Amino acid sequence: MKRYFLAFMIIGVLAAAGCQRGAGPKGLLQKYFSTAMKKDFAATYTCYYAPYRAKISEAEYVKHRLEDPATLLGYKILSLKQQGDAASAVVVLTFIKKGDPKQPKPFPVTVSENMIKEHGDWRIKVW
Amino acid sequence: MKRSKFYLWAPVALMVFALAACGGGVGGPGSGTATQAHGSTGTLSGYVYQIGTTNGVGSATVTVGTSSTTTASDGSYSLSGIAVGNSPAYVSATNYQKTSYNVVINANSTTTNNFNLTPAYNTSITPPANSMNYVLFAWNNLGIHCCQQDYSAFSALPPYNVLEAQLINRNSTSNPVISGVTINYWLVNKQNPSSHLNFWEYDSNFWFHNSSGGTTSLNAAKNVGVLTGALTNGTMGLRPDSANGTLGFEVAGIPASAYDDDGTWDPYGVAIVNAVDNSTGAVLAQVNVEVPISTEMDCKNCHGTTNLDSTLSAFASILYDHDNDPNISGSSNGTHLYTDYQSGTIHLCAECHADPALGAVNAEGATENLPQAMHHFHGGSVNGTVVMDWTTTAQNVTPDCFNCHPGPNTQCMRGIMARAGKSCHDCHGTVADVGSANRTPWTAGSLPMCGTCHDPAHYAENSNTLYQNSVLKDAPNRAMDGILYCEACHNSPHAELITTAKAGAINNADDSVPEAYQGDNYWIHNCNICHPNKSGYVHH
Repeated sequence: MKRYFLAFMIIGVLAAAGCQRGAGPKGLLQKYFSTAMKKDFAATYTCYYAPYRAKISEAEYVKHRLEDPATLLGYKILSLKQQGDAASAVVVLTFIKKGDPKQPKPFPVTVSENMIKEHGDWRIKVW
Repeated sequence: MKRSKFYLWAPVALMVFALAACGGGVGGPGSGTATQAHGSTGTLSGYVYQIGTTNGVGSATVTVGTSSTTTASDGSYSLSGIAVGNSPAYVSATNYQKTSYNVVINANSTTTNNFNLTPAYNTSITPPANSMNYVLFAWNNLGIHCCQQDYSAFSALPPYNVLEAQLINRNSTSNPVISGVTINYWLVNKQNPSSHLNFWEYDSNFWFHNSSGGTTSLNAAKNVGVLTGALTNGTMGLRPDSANGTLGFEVAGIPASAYDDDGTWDPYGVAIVNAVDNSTGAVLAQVNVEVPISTEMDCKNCHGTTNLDSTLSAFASILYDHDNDPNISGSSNGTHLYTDYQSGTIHLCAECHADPALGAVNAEGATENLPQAMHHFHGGSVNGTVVMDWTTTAQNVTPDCFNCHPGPNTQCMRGIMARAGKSCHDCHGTVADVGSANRTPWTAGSLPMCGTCHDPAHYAENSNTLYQNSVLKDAPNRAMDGILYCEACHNSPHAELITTAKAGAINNADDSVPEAYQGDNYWIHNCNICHPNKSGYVHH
């Protein structure tokens, strides 16, 4: 009994570690878009893969995201495919250009997101 | 009497000068003297560095004319007795590329010039092109394009990008390929630029007077480029070239945004370009190419300093200043841009100020083209009055051009010139120079020319032609002349290969073409790229 209990404890710890390490492509997308909706762009920035973060600094990224005339209101994942350490998703985003009298209504934009596993964590692959 | 005295003393004077010129000797390592029988001479000195570093290159040879010297172990050199004038200096060293740079030697003085050497090619790399039948060169025409963050107050520049391409059949002597193929392009993640750009919400306001005496509108459907109707994906047309005939393909006016569709800030966007055989549908070649675009054209560095809402205020303040500054408006030809803006009417700068980039002519009383007006006002004087002391008003960025042009963050300058330590001023001059009344923008003579600084016999543009429109014309094998654009092998101005990434950056899309075909990030140097079973590395 103790042996089984110990095994379950070990499995539970490993599973928890895996969740904390990364919840997979879907978890990445959820973090990526939810932080952008809250305009927590510093957190959004951490979702990108290393080559992007090497080329664009966090300060530059946050500055320009804040200047973006479009604000993200919501997202819907239409499809998600994973093959090994790569994944892709089709997502419908809803934006609004707040304060713009010429485009006051929310509008949809369909995007493809590519993702890659980098050192065990899933990241948004830009190029 | 006086004349006879002159004739008596002149030969003596000449003898004295001749004896002095015959003197002099050879110094220690790193210095040298040219032998001159007569005439004024000067000295050239400095360092030879490995490009992008402060590591001196020892035992490098510096040659000017018939005289030469060898650098010391720290890369220092001094070469005296060089004839006065403008001459190409050549520098070479083992394990480095040879370089040349024009130097100006003044009489009895020392010209200081440092040279930068690029490491030699790795000739052990087997080019990936070896296994290909076609190679597709593609590039952005300028290295960076600018657009505004916000178009609700006025427009200086619409979103407008240009991609060009040339296709080479490696198994044919009939090149470049300009028929029987379709060149496609697709801007990755940038199919909906209107989602993050408000240009199309205001473009019905923008028009200009054209050279035919009529007007041209910049009104375009959402996500469609102005003037050409280009989209963010499509096919390229044949590139018009009256000087050289049709050599390649082009798409102009791509309405690229610096934002990806999902909001990612991405000024180094990538386009996929491929060549498809029209008869079989087979993809003959495919490359990734950079489509650089930046909104870091930042008027608000001086006209306002906060976020988007204040940006609108900053732009509105520009309009107000334009209406009320006595050096612009005067009393007889005042503008009313701010009052128009308040009543909902906004303008394109080129509505009044000629802009050769768009094809706009001066109108409505304007006497200066747009680049001249902008740089003259911000960098010089108007009617004898210095209107802005650039050195005190500009934000503390280097170079000061980055107050308005991309930019401290977006790397407009990321080519080998930047790698060699050159700045905008080295090629473009000062703000006042760019605003000179003698300068016609976007023409040969107004933009920097490679042949000004580098051996014009081998590295100059075609006569009276900009670099981006020039073709190779001094190939060792003359059969290559007139086939390839300079940009096909060397990439865009501002991003000349080898491009330099920001410190710590590990992905540089500018290098994707040479990496795809050559296996390194140099300019195209390996003859094998285009010619099967041919080795060699000399093209000029």
